Amino acid sequence: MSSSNVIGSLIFCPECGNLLDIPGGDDDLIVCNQCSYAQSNYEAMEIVTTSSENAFQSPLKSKRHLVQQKGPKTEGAAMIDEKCPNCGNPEMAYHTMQLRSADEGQTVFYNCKKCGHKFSINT
Amino acid sequence: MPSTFRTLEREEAFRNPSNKKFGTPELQEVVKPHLESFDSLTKFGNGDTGLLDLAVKDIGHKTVFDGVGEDGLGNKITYWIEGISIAKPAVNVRDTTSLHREIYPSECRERLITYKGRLQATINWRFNDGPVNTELKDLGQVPLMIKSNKCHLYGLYSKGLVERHEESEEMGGYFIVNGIEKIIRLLIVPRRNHVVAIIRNSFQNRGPTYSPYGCSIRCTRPDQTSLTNTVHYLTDGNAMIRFAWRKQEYMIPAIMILKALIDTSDKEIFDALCQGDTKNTFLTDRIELLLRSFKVYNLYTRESCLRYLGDKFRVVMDVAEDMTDVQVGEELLRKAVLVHLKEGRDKFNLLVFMIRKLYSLVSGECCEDNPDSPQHQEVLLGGHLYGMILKEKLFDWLSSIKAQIRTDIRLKSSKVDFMNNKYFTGVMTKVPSDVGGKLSYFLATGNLVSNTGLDLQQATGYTIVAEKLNFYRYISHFRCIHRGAFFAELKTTTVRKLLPEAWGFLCPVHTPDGSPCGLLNHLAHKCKVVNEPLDVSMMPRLLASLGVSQPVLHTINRPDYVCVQLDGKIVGWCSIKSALKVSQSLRFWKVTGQHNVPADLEIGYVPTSHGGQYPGLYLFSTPARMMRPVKYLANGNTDMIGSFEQVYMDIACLQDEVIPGISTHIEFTPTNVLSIVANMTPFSDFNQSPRNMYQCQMGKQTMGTPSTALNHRTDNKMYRLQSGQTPVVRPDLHNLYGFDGFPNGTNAIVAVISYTGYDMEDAMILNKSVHERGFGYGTVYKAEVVDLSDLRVTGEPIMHHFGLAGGVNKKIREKLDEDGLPFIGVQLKAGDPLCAYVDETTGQTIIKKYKGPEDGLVDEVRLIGDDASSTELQKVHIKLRITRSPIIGDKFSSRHGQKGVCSQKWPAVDMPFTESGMQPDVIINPHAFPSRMTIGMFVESLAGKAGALHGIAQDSTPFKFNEQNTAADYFGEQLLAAGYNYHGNEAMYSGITGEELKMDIYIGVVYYQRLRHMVSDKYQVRTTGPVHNLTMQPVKGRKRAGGIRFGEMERDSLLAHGVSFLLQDRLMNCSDYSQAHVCRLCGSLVSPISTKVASSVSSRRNVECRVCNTSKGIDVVAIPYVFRYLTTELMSMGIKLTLGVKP
Repeated sequence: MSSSNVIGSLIFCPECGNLLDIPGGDDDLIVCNQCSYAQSNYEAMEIVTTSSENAFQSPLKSKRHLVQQKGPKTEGAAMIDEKCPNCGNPEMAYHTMQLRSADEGQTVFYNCKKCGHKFSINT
Repeated sequence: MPSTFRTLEREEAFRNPSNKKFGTPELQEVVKPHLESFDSLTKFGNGDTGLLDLAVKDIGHKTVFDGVGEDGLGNKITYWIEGISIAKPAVNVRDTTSLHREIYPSECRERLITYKGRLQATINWRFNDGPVNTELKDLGQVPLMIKSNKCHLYGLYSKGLVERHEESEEMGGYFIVNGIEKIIRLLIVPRRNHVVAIIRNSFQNRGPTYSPYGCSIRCTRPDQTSLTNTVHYLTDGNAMIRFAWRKQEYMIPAIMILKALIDTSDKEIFDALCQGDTKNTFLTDRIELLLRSFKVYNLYTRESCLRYLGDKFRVVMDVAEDMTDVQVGEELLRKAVLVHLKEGRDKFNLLVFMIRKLYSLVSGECCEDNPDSPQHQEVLLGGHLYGMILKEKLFDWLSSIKAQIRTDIRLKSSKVDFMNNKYFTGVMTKVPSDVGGKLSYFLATGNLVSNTGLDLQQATGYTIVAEKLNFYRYISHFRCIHRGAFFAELKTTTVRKLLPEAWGFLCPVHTPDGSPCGLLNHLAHKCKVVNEPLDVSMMPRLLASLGVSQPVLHTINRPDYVCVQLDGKIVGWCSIKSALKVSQSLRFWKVTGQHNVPADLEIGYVPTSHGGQYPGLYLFSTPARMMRPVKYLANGNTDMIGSFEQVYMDIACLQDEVIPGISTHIEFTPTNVLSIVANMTPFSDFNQSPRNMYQCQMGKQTMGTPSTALNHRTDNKMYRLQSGQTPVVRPDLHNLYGFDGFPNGTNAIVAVISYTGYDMEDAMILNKSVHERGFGYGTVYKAEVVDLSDLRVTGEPIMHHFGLAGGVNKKIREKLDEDGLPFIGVQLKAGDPLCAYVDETTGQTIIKKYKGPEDGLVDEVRLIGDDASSTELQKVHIKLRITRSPIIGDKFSSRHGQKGVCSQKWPAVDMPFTESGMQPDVIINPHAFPSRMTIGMFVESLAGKAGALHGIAQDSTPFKFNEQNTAADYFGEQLLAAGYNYHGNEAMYSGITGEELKMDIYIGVVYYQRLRHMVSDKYQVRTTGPVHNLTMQPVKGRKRAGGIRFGEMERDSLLAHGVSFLLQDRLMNCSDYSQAHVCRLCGSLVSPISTKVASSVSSRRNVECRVCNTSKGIDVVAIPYVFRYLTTELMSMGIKLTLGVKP
């Protein structure tokens, strides 16, 4: 069996190139079901599997990386002294977006951290 | 000094149009993508084959069996389209009187018909394997593109065009359907023959274990029809190929396709997928799974795979019955898998590449490709779409012949005689064959009626009307490019983003705001869409000489080799270093023209990166790509670059940005990235960017000069500025595109001053005298079409004739002539007769009245005959001229997105004046500037003033000035030289008191546009009028003299003001006030019924309740009428509504 026909757990038939089934149980005879080539000296072979570098990320390594990736942005972290019209909480989280035409004001979205009340204002 | 306005040159060009060249050849370039793509239908590249010939070839043969005889199938008849031809537009063959048989576009416009030519197909058929019979078959008339090679205007220049009643600079590129000019709008589609990696959550909906990962390729056949193949990654590591066939999706295991394409073995597939990278166990594990999971099919050879596929797809493919399963399988692979490639080996290689890219995407080695980026996009050209539709309609026609024969066999097999040629020709006459009509429908409506979907994502909105409102708008139609109606509905805004990849291809400024923002883009003015097939036969040889290996053996490749592709075909492999060398050499040869490397070849070198785009060298030579010129620094030549390669190139914008050793190219000029209309904004680099966007919109809404051949146009509504001027301040490109032929506004003296109080909130004051001298004087042309044939049933004799019978009063004869048509120049008021005809059955004259609220003058009356010119006049087209001098409430705008409404026409004596006695034409409020930051308008004012004083045209091309050499200094010096204030300010005196104003006033010359939004079209007033007869509320709509809705928000506002009693007036008294009887006892509004009192004394009516049977409790209340409607509606649902009435 030439080594080029065995790659890891893949054994190809040297006659027809067919992928051979791995024998199960005690039977160590491999038969090609296309050209009936048979081979008996099947031995337990060594299979090496490598994982890609970023499969298991190390925080130490990633710190040295040129590109730094941050987790999902903490949503609406900005707080403002605005009384919640629903529960009266003095502080509300807010974020702004330019929804309307570019020459008009932005839209401010308020979100109460206490009661979850949401509303928006066009400024 | 000669005039910098080129007035004499232009006059000469208008007086004596040339027969050899155009005055402004650049205008012809504008529509090139449309024209060239249409021309390619009949002539694609060199030689005589067109896309239609290729399409006909691809449709192939159709076969039907009659089922007679012992062997089951019986006799065979095979038929196919041998050739196809389109004739130039000509007079109906039945017409015997015409001397000139050509029909020119202007005739179609004026007669409101379609500019179309005869489509003929040569159809061949043979009985069994007998001799081939041929017949020429008429397939109706197809609309033809103006100035294409099928148009009579082809190759004509200014003089010839003017003689044929066209513009002197007519560009063509559109169709005329029912007298309306239609354009097939350009559409963004995925780049053809290029594999893109996609992560899309909707992929998971394809079935169980489907993952969001996929690799997709839009393959294009030589006839420009396309089919998309997608390789899906399943969560277990397997790969499936998906394609759509006749709008139905099919999934096939990738290995089955690989094995069916060529005679191969598991080993070869492994080697090809692995590329020697056996250390990459992520890859080998998945390849093992691919191969092992396919074992369950027990298909080992190519033949068995093909047979399996053929068996499954026989019905779907609708093939001839005598084909074997293997043949059907081959047909499937030919027609549905990687259709841009012919050879099975090439398909195999590319499919392997797709799977490799897919696994690399899944493992995170490469990132997904952005399908919204112009890098992975190309243009669907009008001509190509036209060809696709035509191909499908031809295919459908052949299929319907087959269906007809089958029906004949089923119903009356004795009548079916394949041997007799009469039978087949008879079938052809039975089958509807108006292919031309279907194309006319497509162009008229923009709706795509298709069985296959043509690999497109939308069914409507393919065509637009080329409105000739003004020349900016007209020209923009040809340059606009839409992302697709599908994306307009998407909630995400990512597709609308302006990406850096669009630099130089799509204009960053010229996109509308609002719903189509970012989806409807415009091509940059130097952006071309290539449309010729390039000769790339030398490429494999050149690549080999540069050290690229041949794609024959997979085992010789090393893991770090990258793929070299030419139009989606793998032509070799090489290391990434040599790929860079190859791309550099090819680019040098391309620019210098060595080794016949075509100039429009795109050389996309993607370097290796950590988790970036999948590397490789991708060459593109196909049509429909966006290309633009930049300067190649090595030798100063022009290099055409594409949107794919640009991403990885180092192009400097200005000279000082060139980095030696890195920069390879430089922009010719920064204005190349702007569209034509965006380039017309003077000093746009001084403005805040949204203002330039607004100007692009408003420039297209301006009342300008729609056409120079006005008397040959029949548009429904046309706006015209009578007193157009050439702007004093204009960019260089203004001349290049010949906009002086189509003036769009007037130069005005503008003072920025808060003067009368009538200039608040963007209102502007017009000097009454300047308006009287014709500032912004406009005209609206409206068309009225009277078609008497609408009054009669088709086939019946003509019973209506234009004319006046006896006994028509004198008033009418003042307006109408004996022929029943109005005199030219006569003024029509609302209710005046527009035309008259005699009804033969009654002998009565029927007067058609002019309805319009405004007075109109009869400008032209056009008598429209029919095609064969054999019937009596039945249709007239009357063009009315409505004068629109500027009035209070009309909208004006400078060229900097500074629009305003005229609020007063101020008497000249009361206008402020300067030391030299100048009065402003227009006064605008200084508050228009601080928040909008349109400094460009100040600069224009300065430049305009200096230009007017010195009599020179000022160049306002953006990016000409900088911090060292400022515009203020440049024009300030000019003003100083003319004896004016350096800064453009002047002392002014109040026109009312004569006192000097405390501050100096900024006054200069600004070009003003008059926008088409005029109060005359908008004012709405109503006291009483028509009401809706169900609710008794006022109707809506200006046309019907309706009211304006006083809605919920208005109600809220009154409540908030604390004037809620006003609601009584608005919502009841002025709306549907009504009185109703109500029964106090049962509270019902519906039970009171009027009964007749049985008395001979009077016929007084009495109201009594049907429920209580008495009139005791009856009261009259005032309610809104809809309330009564509501009660009856509720009653119909079994809900009783009771009123509690108290005195």
